[in-house]
Amino acid sequence: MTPQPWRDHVVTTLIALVSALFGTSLIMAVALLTDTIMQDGPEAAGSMGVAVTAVAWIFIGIGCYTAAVVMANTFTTIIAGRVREIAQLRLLGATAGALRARLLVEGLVAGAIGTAAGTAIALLAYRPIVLALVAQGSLQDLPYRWFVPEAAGPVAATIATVALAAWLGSRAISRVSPVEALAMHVEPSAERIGRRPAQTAAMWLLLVAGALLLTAGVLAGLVSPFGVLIAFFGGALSFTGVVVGASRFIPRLLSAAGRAFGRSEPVALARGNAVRSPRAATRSTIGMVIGVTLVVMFVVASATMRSITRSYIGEVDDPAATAALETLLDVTTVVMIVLGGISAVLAAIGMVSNLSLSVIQRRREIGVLRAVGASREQVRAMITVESLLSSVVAIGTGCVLGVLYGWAGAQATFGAAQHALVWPTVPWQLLVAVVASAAALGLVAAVAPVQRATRVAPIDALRVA
Amino acid sequence: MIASSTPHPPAARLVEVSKHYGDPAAGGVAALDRVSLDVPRGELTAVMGPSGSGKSTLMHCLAGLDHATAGRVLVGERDITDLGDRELTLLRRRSIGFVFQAFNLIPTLSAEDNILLPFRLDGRSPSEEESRLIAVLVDALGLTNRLAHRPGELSGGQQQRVAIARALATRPALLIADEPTGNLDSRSAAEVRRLLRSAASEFGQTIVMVTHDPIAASIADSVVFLSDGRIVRHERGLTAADVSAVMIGATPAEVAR
Repeated sequence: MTPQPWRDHVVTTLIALVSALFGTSLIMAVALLTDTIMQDGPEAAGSMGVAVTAVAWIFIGIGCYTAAVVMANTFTTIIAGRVREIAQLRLLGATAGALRARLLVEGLVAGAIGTAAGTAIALLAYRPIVLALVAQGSLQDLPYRWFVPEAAGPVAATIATVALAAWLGSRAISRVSPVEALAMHVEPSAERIGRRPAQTAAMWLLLVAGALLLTAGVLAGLVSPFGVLIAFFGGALSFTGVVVGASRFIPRLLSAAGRAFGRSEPVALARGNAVRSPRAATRSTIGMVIGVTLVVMFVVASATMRSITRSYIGEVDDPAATAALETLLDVTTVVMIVLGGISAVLAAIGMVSNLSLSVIQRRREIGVLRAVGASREQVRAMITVESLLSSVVAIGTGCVLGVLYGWAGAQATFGAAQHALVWPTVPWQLLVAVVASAAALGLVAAVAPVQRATRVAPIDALRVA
Repeated sequence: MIASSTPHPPAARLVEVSKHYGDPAAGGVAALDRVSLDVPRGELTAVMGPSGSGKSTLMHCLAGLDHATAGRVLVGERDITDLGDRELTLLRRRSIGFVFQAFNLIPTLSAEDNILLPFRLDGRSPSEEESRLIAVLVDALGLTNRLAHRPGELSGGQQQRVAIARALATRPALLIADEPTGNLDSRSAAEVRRLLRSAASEFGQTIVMVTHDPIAASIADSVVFLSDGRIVRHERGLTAADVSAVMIGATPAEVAR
């Protein structure tokens, strides 16, 4: 479709790589654990192995969910960048289905390359890491397996995720009208904003049902740890509701956050750009919302759990049990932070590509700004503020949701220990990390788009089409 | 009174301006070949020529959008030939107005915000006098009821009128219009021609209009004809028919095709 179609798919390849790397590493970690436990007897290894494998697959599932959302966004972004070519091909008689299939194949090839690379890295790195740990004395010297057939699982899951994301993300192709090939001077409008009653209904249904279940889970948690099961479904439903309805509130948050940056013209322009296409704005932020929600949820959950169980254990007064529980909490928290961190990295990649694309699409507009007297610094400020707005809103939203879900999870699991509701515990380090990463992400994500934007010359405004 | 004996200083000047793409020794193209032109103050000057004649390059050099390979470019008394990006930006913001063929406006800003954009980029609001001028312009251009609309909600002709209001609002030394009627229906095109004409006649606005439309060129006080990077004729008071005749005569190759 374009001279360099593969450049569009770099993000897909990267996400597939990270996703496969993560999945395969988890599978190999399970293998390592089973190999170690095997020493204590095959029976123990059997039941423990099943439990550990199940947990690993839940994590792989969360990873795939995040990757799917981010990749589907990427595909929609690619389509937004190709609106004119797609319209031209449609004009010449290509069916939307054929174009979708073509994009699907491109995406699958790009995803397969990333998956192969990620799996290879994980498998190749496994042996040296284990041997190093053995040499260091952290691991026993055992006949470890260097490969397990289960490693095929994450490969299949990642490829399936790419296919699903490409198919869902490419729905936008059928909304491109052939007429857009003929319109020379209008902005490409892959996103016409229409009222979508079905989407609204789904959003409210998910949010209300999710909130009710979450509340029920928290209340049930006061008498039984099984409250967490109810709360889990409440959390999943309500979060899906948030994702479905994000294009309604994210643009408003972006515009509101813009007030914090003052009233200069670059900021006013950035605010306008942030909300000009609600779905594009949502696409570039929602991945980050997911990643940050995951991290914050687990940090707050484990901190809150600690504060609940500490007072509980304090009554029992058993230092050994306390130490064991704390270790367990520490390990779980670290795993979860890695998981959430990876999704945040994926989302950051998506944010950069979205912002770059929007700069490419606005080339003439930036040329007009330069022609009527915007300096390079003003263009730079505009793009940087756009980037900061996205990261601040994404990280802020993720933070609020994460605190809510983390608290609900801890309360639903451990509430029975105290038979009372407690306040969520939010470590100050978390708040510092959130603010710092929002600023860092916003600034780093702006580097490449700013470079592109400041290279736009005022003459670009005068070029026709 | 004879104009030539008491000359107003020209609003802008090109002195022996050349613009080469690539190395001329190695067969590079000369888009402009030692072109000299005085743009008379308060007049509408049309620049005509077939595609590739250098009229866009001439406009780019005149507006400080492109650097000349040789020669000097003056806007008012100021030599802008060697100005850096920062000074050129300020020059465009304060002393030059632009009206393009299409896509003139920032789609996220209302018509009013588009008009005020050059002031806001300067970090200020229009002065009382400037506000009065803007009010007069908005009224004269029939935009009073359209100020709150975004460009997407305006017709092509209305968008072009907003662009004209923006270009005139700063009272620039020079207004550059690049095919301003090229994208409009005949009624809107006539309207835009009338507005540019009266901007020159009534406001004394200096305008350089690049066009290949003989009707558009016929409203000009003088018409500059370019061919292969050189000015081949510079005539005053031409009708559309005169302009067409010169165009056909100046480019026999195009007619033969």
